[in-house]
Amino acid sequence: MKLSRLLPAFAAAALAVPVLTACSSGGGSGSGGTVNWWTWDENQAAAYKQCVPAFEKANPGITVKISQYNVNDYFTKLTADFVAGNAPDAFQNSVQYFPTYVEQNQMEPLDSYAKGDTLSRYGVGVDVWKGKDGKQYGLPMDWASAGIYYNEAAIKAAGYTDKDLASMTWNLTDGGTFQKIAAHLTVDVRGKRGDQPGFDAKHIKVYGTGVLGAADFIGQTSWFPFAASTGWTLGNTKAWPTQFNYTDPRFTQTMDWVKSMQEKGYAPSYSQFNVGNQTSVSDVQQIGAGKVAMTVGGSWEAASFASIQGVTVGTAPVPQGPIGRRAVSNANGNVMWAGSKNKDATWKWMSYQESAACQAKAALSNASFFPSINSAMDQLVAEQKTKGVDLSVYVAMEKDGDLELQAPYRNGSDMQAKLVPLFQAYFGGEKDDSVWATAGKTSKDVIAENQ
Amino acid sequence: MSSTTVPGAALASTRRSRLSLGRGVAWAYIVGVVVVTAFPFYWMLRTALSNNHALDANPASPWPVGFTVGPFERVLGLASSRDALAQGGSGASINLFRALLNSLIYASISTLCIVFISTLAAYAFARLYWRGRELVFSLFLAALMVPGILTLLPNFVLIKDLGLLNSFPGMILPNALFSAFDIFFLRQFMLGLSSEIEEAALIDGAGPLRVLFRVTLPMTSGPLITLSILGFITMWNDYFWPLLVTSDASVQPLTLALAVFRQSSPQSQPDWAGLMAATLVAALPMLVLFMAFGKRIVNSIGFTGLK
Amino acid sequence: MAVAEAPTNQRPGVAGTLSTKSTRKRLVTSPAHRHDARLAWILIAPALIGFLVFAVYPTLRGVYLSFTNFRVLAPPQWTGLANLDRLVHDGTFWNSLLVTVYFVVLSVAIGTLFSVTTAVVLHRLTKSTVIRGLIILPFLISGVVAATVWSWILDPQLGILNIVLTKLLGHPVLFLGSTAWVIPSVALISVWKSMGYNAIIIFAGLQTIPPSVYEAGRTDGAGEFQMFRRLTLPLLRPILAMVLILTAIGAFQVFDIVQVTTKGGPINASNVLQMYIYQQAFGQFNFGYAATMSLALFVMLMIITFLQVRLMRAGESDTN
Repeated sequence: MKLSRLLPAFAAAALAVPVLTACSSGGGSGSGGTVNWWTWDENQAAAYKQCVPAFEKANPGITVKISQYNVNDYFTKLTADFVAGNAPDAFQNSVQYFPTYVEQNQMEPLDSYAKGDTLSRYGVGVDVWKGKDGKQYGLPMDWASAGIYYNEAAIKAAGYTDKDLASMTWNLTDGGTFQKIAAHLTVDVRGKRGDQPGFDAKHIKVYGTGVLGAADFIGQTSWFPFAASTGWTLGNTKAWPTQFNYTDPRFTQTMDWVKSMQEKGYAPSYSQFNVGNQTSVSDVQQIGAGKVAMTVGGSWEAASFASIQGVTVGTAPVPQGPIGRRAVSNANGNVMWAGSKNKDATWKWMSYQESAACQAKAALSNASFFPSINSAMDQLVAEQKTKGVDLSVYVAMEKDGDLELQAPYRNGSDMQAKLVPLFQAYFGGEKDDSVWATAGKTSKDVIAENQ
Repeated sequence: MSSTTVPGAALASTRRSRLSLGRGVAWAYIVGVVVVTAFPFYWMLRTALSNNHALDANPASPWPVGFTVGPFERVLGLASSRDALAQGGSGASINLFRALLNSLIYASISTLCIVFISTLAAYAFARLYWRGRELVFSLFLAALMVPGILTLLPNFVLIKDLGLLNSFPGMILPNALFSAFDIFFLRQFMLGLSSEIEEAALIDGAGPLRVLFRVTLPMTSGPLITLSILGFITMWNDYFWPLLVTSDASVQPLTLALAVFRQSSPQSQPDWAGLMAATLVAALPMLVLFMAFGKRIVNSIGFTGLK
Repeated sequence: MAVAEAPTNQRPGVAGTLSTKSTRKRLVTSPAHRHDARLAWILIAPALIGFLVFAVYPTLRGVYLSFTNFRVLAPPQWTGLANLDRLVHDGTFWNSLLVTVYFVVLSVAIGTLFSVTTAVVLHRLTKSTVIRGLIILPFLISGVVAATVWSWILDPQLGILNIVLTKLLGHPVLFLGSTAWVIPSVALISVWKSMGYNAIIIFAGLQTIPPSVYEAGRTDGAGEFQMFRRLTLPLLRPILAMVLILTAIGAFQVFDIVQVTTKGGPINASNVLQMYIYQQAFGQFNFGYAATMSLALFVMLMIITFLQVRLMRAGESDTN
């Protein structure tokens, strides 16, 4: 039985093979001078890589490694790496998630690093990155908001000018000129316009406006500009709300109006361009395919709209409502992980990233974000103008104080999971106005969770 | 129409008229199945050869819209980020070769280990007699029903505690030692084999190990190939475990590298052309493997059922 | 030495049906098996280590965590039956369970129907490896890829299938976007992916049935359908049962297709259990509660498998 004596060795070898062949190189986490930085946006990853050479030259001994994970995986991977103790030293974060991370002790307060004028250089977003404890947890990286994009050919054919679109009004009683224009831009399959007799609201060829009833509980690129222009605000307090104002009559009436737009055939229902819980056909594709004549879109889509082949797209601010124009803006932040092993080098990189020099360089390289520093923003606007992309609408809304920055609130992930189905049920016709009482209570319960 | 050699051919001819209708329906069914199966693959190819912007305007064209190999260049890392954006693509860049190699290492080592180790165990369960055999076997089988998500986090923390994060052993080990399915599958097969040859060898004085490697293994080659292919496919397509365990391009497999073509934000437009090209590239090695060994693969897949 | 207990219910007279058991008796007494026990433990050692380290330990740990409030980044706190209490009162959990069961029933039923039909038709029609090769193609790609392609084809506006349907019906069908269609659609994607593979397994099983069985049936004047029902199905039973069990276990854990196509929407209509567990764990950091739900799933899988094995054993006796 010679073979059987060999066997233990054999079994051991079988065990060791995978270990030996592949082992050896573990991961280099935050040792020495490497700063790991993450983003979910591949274009921003490419943009910030432009800043690395100058930074590494100015800071010998520090190397920067930028990684990107798509947004479906990003926060899962972050969670896993918090647990594993090898999360990135600094990373892009969203206002929706950072309060949870602060509560889990994963965020490093930046107050002791951000001395002097560091924070005063930003035009937008410093305050939303303050924690409930008053500490500064992030540097504002960018800002984004919403505007109206429209198909130039479609509005000309309907007899409108750019000026008409730029000066649209809206109110709860008759929907203002926005509704009039949307109705006229809508065309049914037999070529009748939405405001003509014999119009068939069931069979639409071109919708006057894109999705207004989005299953998004903030409604940034759909219903928010309308609801907020009545004076309604999402949170019951300016900072750290304890509940969302979904039972406010101004909000519920706006939602009823949105539903009426769907019923009239002027706006598509949520499920036409969204599948399950996600966008399947983006508004860029909707305009590009000629399915929609104008739409509320994100500022980050300006370059995509401009590059649609064969369709010229114009830009306008959101409509003027009872109290003026309102759009929600958000600012992502650059945050430091509390477990980082070389915080000083990390701070050097973060603060360099969010300096005027790097923001301008990165933003100009591919226009993937709006810088949070005014001088860099101005450079981007000028540069994009030469490429035929008009960002002036956003700059104007920002300067006029029409933008409301999305403030942080607790348990953002759970909020999304619980509220989205309610909005879907309302806009899908499964639930009536009674859903808003549930939504209001849900928002209150979620914010109070795990206190 | 290939096997009409046996008797009964005469019988068949009298029933031809009735059968031909049935055969027609049957053939139509098979054609339908093949079309439904294969069409999505063609659609991937057609989309992957299109310009992402042009797709929106002409979604129904059966041919590539604005024919371009741009999406493949993007996936293969040949296009500059600027060109990619101009075609409505993602500006991401990946090191395809490295990812391909990592996938190969991950899938092949895992598969080799698990099939070999499972063979040893299956032999012990099928041919050797020892106290506790049935108990251990039922425990092993119960593992088949443990939902992956229950063990996911504890396993992840374990790999972290072993210091194996972001390394091949960390990716491979949990998959390379134990597979209830493989052991079960091989045991069933070995039980179905006649043991006479093995007994003869034993009586001739060969040790059980010699019997295992010289007699049983050669007879088990069919199921071994099947299991290896199944294992390789599973590992090749594995996504979630490598996502958790790795954080560096030097060990990340192809599935992870290609994930950059998925939506970067929930509201943004997916780079459908790039995504489909990435999908095809990810599936390509499997397709090549399949074309080379298709016949063997198809013929080797089989099951003895539960005994 | 380590002599395994011989089966007690042995009846030497019926050697045909109990062949494995009677050889076992003979082998046990053979001197060649004296060292079996030691060798057996050595042979299963690597698998056993893997089993203990990567299956038993994490499972036990998961069981422990299911009784705690575990927010991952802080140590778990023992909360006893609080999670179980929450589970009993969690409407979303019960909705997810229902959705999952609906998915399992649909995908197992449709999947079995199509794979058996395909296998039988192929078996009677052609031995072409090309056709078998074609229908097994979807099995080679990952669930993520399959789901991506299908969400592109089923898209209400730009998807080719809906463009065709719009021409025929005048409106698109919201396959993945309506509460009524979403689970059937997801089930069909999952059937598309695994049907060919299951058909090939069944096909292989069919090939082991001796042609003489059919010839006998034919001379008795049985039609194709009768032969299928009287001969093919009973003979296929063990293989079918195996395919059913594995499909059901897999279907209960469906995740990637849903994650890619719908993320659980609309209105939680496709929020399958695994999706909900994943959200609770990685979205809300409720790892303790997620473990409780996984454990509940484990228990359900055990029960279902047990029932299926019982059914199958019953089937085995009437084939022999």
